[in-house]
Amino acid sequence: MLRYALRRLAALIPVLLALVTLSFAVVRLAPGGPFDAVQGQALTPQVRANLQHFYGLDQPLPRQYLNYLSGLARGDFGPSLSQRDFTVSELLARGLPVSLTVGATALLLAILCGIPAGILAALRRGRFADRAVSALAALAIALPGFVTAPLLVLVFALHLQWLPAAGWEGGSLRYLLLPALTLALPIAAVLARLTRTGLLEVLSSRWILAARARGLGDARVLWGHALRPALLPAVNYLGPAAAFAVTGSLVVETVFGLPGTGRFLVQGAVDRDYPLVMGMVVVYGVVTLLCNLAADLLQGALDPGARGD
Amino acid sequence: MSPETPLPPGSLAAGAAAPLLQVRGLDVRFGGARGAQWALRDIDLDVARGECLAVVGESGAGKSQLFLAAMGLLPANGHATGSVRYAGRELLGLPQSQLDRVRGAEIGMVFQDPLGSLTPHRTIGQQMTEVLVRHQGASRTAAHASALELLARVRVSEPRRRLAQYPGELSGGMRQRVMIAMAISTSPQLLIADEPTTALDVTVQAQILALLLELKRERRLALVLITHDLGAVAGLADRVLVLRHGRTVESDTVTDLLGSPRAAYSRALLADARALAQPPPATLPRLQSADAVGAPLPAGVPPLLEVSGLSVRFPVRGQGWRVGAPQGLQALQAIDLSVGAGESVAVVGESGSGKSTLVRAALALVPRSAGRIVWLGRDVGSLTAGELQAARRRLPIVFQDPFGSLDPRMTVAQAITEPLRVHEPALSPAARQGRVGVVMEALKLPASLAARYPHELSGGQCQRTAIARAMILEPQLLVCDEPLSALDVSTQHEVVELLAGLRQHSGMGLLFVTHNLALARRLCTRVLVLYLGRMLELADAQRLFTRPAHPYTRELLAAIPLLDAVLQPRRLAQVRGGEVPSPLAPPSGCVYRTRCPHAVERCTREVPSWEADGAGGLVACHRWRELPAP
Amino acid sequence: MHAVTESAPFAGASATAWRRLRASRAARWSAGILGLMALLALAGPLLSPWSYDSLDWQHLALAPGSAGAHWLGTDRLGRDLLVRTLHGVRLSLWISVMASLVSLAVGVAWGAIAGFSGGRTDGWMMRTVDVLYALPYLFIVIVLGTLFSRNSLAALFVALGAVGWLTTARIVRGQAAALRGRDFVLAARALGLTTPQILWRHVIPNLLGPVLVYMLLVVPQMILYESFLSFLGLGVQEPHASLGNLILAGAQEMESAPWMLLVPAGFLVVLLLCLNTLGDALRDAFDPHES
Repeated sequence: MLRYALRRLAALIPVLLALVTLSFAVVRLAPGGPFDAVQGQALTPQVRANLQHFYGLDQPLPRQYLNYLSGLARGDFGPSLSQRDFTVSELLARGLPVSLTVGATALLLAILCGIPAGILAALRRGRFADRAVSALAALAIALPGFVTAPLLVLVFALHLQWLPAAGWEGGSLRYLLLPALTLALPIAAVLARLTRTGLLEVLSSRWILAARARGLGDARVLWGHALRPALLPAVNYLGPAAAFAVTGSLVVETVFGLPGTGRFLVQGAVDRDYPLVMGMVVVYGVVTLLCNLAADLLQGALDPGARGD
Repeated sequence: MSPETPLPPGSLAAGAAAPLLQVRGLDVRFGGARGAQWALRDIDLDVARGECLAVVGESGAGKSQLFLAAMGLLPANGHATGSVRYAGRELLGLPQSQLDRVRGAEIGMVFQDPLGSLTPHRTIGQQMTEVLVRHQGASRTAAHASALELLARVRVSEPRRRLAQYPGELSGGMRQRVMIAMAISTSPQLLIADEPTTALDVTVQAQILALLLELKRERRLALVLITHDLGAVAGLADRVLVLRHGRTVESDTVTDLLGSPRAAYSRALLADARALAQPPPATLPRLQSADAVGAPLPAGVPPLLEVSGLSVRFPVRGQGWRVGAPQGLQALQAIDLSVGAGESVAVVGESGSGKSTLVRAALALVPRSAGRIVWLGRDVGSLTAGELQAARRRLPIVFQDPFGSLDPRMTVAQAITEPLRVHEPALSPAARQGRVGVVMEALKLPASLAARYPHELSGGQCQRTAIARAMILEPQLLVCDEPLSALDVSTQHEVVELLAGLRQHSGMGLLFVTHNLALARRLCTRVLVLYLGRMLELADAQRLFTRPAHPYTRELLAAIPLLDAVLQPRRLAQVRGGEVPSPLAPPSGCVYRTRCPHAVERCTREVPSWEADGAGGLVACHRWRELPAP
Repeated sequence: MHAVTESAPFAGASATAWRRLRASRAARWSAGILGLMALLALAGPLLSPWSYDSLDWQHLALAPGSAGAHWLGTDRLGRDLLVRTLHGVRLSLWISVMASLVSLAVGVAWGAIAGFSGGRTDGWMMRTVDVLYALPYLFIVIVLGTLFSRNSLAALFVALGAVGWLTTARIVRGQAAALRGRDFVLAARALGLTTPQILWRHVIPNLLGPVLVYMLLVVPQMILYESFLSFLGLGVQEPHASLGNLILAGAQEMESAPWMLLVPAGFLVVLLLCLNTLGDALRDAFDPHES
């Protein structure tokens, strides 16, 4: 098991390399450059040439690519070209904890709501609880974060004034709740649906009939025999869900004014801040890959016996 | 429907106390009050202690529903009314908590498809102990010990290791033994076995039935056997209930049912079963005389199909968590076979014997790792792609799954026409139409089916369409890969008669793959016996069935049930055990030696060579000459 | 008895699916609402006295229902919100349908080739998809959208299509690989059909149904991505309206003029809900599991 995990981890390195190469190419082949203008003012060719030389941008591209790779191997993301007092690592180190906190809370919230709701719906198939869960899930899936977020602010912050509309305050629960809820809703909805279909399928299987024929009782059949395989689709979705939570932080951080990393991506791309954009892509790429791997390993652990056919 | 008085007292139950299980006026329907579908109407039955009641019927007769209803296991839209009394206690309408004290504790159940009936993610040990802990309040250690004992009792090999394994790691027969061990673990008085042998190989079927018979005698079990197989009924049952479309057709003792069935439907069922098990009627011309078997064919007439040294190896990679070097699975090892003009040859064997792979490789549908293939005198290896495609029209194949082998988007007429469009594109539409009409008539497919899609047909109609599609090109050799195993007995009989008729009419050759020896005898003049991808015996059908030389052939023959309520239980009692080894690690020397009762030390060392049996056949066994006559 | 007379691709097994679909109340309602919305989006702006960029200086930031001419109010520049929203629906639908077509074209070709060739080709092609799948793909699209063209719709199609084709490729590949192993394909080969004949006569007709169904599930995804990009200010730009940039504008004004948020948001949610429902119903109707 451990060896398998390590092997899978090692297999991520080429994927990561592909990611870096691809994004490097996209970022650098785009028209324009970081020093076309500073604070709206065009720079003289002399100043621009000096700046480009200082940051090594006058070297041939393959050379720059290798330089970037060797920096990355040492954990150095390079300097930010737009916020020139900071390195990219410093910017990420400040923003990342915020984004990860919001993402992780959202994921936890989604799991805690979505999976029990799915189980309930499957057990009460066709009855009120099932229809309610299914309708809510359909609605939540159709509600994108950039709609939910302003609506939540409108209702809970502006009208009811229960929770603050924006801000972070070191991540206190009051400030965390609305952003996390925004991200959690669609994930919870998908989890509920997957759990419901998964459980219904398992419950109609022959081995469940056989377990009931052994007089094991409903609770035992559900917990001991049905649940584990029924959760496989939902567990499988956790990887993409984590990626979704990470990507969704872009919107949430904009609407709720959180000091996360999301804004760096768009701003960095607009400013042609090459190292910042690359740093964001690499860090989020690693997070996504690790989430997918974790979901994969979890699935393997849940399903040890399904090898035969 | 039934002319009988309500249930004549069973021969064994007569004089005994009240029956253990008593069903009266049981109705089962699905769906709401309006538009309800009746699965069962007005069923009465009794089962006494120590007695086996067989419930017989074809698919859709409602025989499984009967006992699911009795046990409160119907799906949510199913409703049962009437009375089901177990040991004097009404089961219908019993609250579930009380039902759960009966199910598994006093009534055990064994299902068809033992892989699907065991929870895949829990080990055998976990599932067995769970039942004991729940119903007998046993401690985990005690439960573990009894589980071990039970596995040994049902003769599972290496029981200690099995307890830690997952269902997917066991063979089909072993899984069914585990199911039985679990069902009898709480010492129930009634055991319900729902098609317990259906998906299993013939030899394993006999083993499972023998085990059930033993348990029934040893524990005075009341046994309900739900089956469509009259052979199983003959071996195990004391009384029989025949169902059709949810109603009782006949209820009788097994001797009476097999000897002089009263209802017309029972007579038809029995006639179909007997016809399939019997050798062909003498009117069928024997195109190949017995002494020509194995001998070179007359010069000038090339065989339809000839393979020599044919081997197939499949790459196998480690799956899931297991990391390992890729292994090879030797599916076929050096097969030599030829089918002469107008000859019919059967390839028989159990699952994993490579019989399907053999015909697929011989038709160049599966790549071969070694060997030469000759079609109608032409070496397949020397043909260009175009020539190969053109040559295929003379050797079409019919597959097992009747629905899967037809394109769901083509009507019957379109499917049958397709080969003509490909091989004779110049044909006018009218001429094509005419040929389709002729073939459909030959296969007894009514013209009204021409515009139907496969999902609107029955299994038998699908299979006849597939045969028509093959026949329209006037083939010289028809290859059939288990064409009957997915069909009901009466449909099987119908298709067999059709095939026999077609052969007689057109003089084409037939290569017939089957696990059912009786079918091989019915249709073929020569039989090849395969085991783990190796040839064990090749002989004229008459010789093979009357004087089998190879011990494995003998075992296969002994596993064919006789429709005789006196002889069959005795034969079952003599059934030997044994499992097919994994094809990934075949035994050294003779591959059959691990199951062979006559194996000696030499068999582990030397691969037996082909020896002529003196009657034109060939045998691969070191000891076939010394064996006692069967 | 001869119930089946419909022509391909809804012939045979699909006829049952079609019947099942028509029996679903949710699917009928969704289709009706979608049809109505599409009609409104096409014809509505033509019938209204206002256009999406005409300014009404008498009625700035007008709330819905307060004056007869602007049913759903106006924005801060006095532009009619209903007309702008319908304009946005039209633009969103158009972009997402085009982007779906781009992603389908690439995905179907990729998946069908991989699935039917099998072996090493299949392995490499699908490994590529796996790698791309594992990346934070939307990030790359955002970067693409920012770096190239803030005003070109073609770039938007390509960017969105680039996200969508991966899932399509996986689904089509699965279908094609399953078909390759089916007995009827083997039977066709045994009857002497060539590979192109098999592809044309058996594989492609059988792929068509699932792909059409899948198309309906891609469209809402694309609408979502498009409005997401526009919401970030990277997609459709003012004065053109898309649901995304209308919601962005609405979110900025929501304290004083909440209808500016609620109207386009409502349209977007109903649109997505109906498309999802219809797509799910269609998928279930075609799913052989359900019977």
